[in-house]
Amino acid sequence: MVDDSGWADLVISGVSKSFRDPKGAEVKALAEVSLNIPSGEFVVLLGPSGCGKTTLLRSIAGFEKIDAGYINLGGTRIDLLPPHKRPVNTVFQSYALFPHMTVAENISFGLENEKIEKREIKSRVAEVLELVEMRALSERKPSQMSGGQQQRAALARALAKKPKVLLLDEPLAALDLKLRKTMQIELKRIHRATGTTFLFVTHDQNEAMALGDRIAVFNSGQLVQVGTPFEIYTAPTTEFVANFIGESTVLTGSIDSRTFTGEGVKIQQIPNQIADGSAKKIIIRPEAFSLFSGKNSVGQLRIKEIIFAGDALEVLLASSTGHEVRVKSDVSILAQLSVGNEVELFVDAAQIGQIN
Amino acid sequence: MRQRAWSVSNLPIIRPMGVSSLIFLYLPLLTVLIFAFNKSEDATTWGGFSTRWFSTILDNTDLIRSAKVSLSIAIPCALIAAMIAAGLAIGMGRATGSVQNVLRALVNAPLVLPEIVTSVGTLAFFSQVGIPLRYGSLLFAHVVMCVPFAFLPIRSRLRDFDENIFEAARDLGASSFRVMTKISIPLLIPALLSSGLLSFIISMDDFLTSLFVSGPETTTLPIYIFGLLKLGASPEVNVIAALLLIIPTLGLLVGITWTATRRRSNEARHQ
Repeated sequence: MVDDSGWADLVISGVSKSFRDPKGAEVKALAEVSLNIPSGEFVVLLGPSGCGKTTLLRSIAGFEKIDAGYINLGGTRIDLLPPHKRPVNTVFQSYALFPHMTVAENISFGLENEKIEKREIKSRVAEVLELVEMRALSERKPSQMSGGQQQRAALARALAKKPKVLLLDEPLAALDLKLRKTMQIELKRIHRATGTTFLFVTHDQNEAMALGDRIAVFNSGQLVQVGTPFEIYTAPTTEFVANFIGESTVLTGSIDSRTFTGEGVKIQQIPNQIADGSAKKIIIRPEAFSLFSGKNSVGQLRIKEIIFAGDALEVLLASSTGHEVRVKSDVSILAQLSVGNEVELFVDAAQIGQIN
Repeated sequence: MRQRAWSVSNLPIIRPMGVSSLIFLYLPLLTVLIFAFNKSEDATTWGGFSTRWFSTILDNTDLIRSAKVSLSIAIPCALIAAMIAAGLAIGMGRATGSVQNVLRALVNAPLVLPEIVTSVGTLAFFSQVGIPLRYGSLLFAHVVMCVPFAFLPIRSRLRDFDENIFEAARDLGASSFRVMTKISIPLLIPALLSSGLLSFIISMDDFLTSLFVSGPETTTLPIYIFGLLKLGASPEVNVIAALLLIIPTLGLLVGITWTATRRRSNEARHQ
């Protein structure tokens, strides 16, 4: 394969795909999804299960035929090609290593499919094994390795092909939390080392924020929002994104002369970029609130629940109408809180956002 | 070992039933083995120890011929049935939903159909179409009979695989042909072997179908043995039966030992 990494932009344009469920009803897995991914970017497709993210990944790999739209890679249309003719490779959730081959054989299998010299294959196998730190295990069969080692082998096998885009389908889902964290750091290192475009599917928002240069959030077959983890977290455009990524309090009410009134709460000094009007939805992250002290008081609210999370306190408050307000606070005030009591709530108004 | 509070095996009749089933299962086999070394002219009365009948059967040209017929049917039958079954099993994996259910029912149905029905049907079919009862027609009938059995081990082996490995092979640039030669077939070899072995045994052992569709030149071993009995039980029958018991058992033992040593040396290599 030619190394033309500068010309490997992935363009997904108006892609739709429907399935029939067992009862014969049509289910839209992808509804006119468009997404541009510049060469070398690490993009995470995030969403709940059944949102279409895996279908999009499989459509790029060639395992699903799309109903409408097109997929271009480096200026060439690829969505009509069979899977083995596409310059992309997949890392599967189940690893999908060939059980009858050693790690080295698994990796060379992909290279033997191309017209590559034996010596070149050998050196490339050694190179990717070095990259994923698996040199010592090259003669192991998949059944003789742990889940994390199998995952590294699967990664090496896909990377050996020097794909223009590496597709990763929830590759860390089967690993335990600690190993998953280690592999996340590994993936970032490998991404930097190879400069390949990574397209990573997950339903784990923390993983998405840890890994992605950009995150594309999916819901019911639609691409809801695309942006850097910072943009997605600080300025979600819909309630779905606001709730799916991190925690937040969403309040509906009216804004008049910089004051929000609704859900039994009154907030002053609303930022200027949020226009006046009725039936407005504002979103406030838990860390924008504080208890006992601050500049902008929201008033006294009753404590519903106190959750001690080690490094922070999570306090659930109820407004006078019973609406839930989530507050993240320093652990130092734990002794002063008790469920059922009222506490004064403050907010940093600059961190208030608006959703549609 | 700790005694469990209650277990089916504690019921009064279970143990005697189990023991007597084993006796009834193996006593006839033991009888055959003993009577193979009978000196007497009569197959059923003991006349002292001798191996004379072993040498007689080697001179029995009819017997040797029928054994050759059986082998010449069973070996190709095993190969062909395993191949057809593999194709069916792989193809069925690609079919979805109701199509797969119908296909599976069609392949499995002969397992529960009375063999007499398929035998009569096959004979009727051959005579209607005008196919003479020779080697080819007998082989054909045996293959048809063996395919549903040969299908079972391959299908269950295929179901053990992660579906994704075939997608992964395509993803890594393999053509359908290479996926088959490098992934599917190597992974299926153990299942193909057991399919073949099963078909071989069924074909060697078959009486009913062979009786209906064999012609004068295609008398198989079971039919020949049955013929011997009709003429009055000759001690040769016991010898043939004993050989049919001993040879496959020895083969099986050699096979098991071979795989066991191979696995042990494989494991040792990876330590």
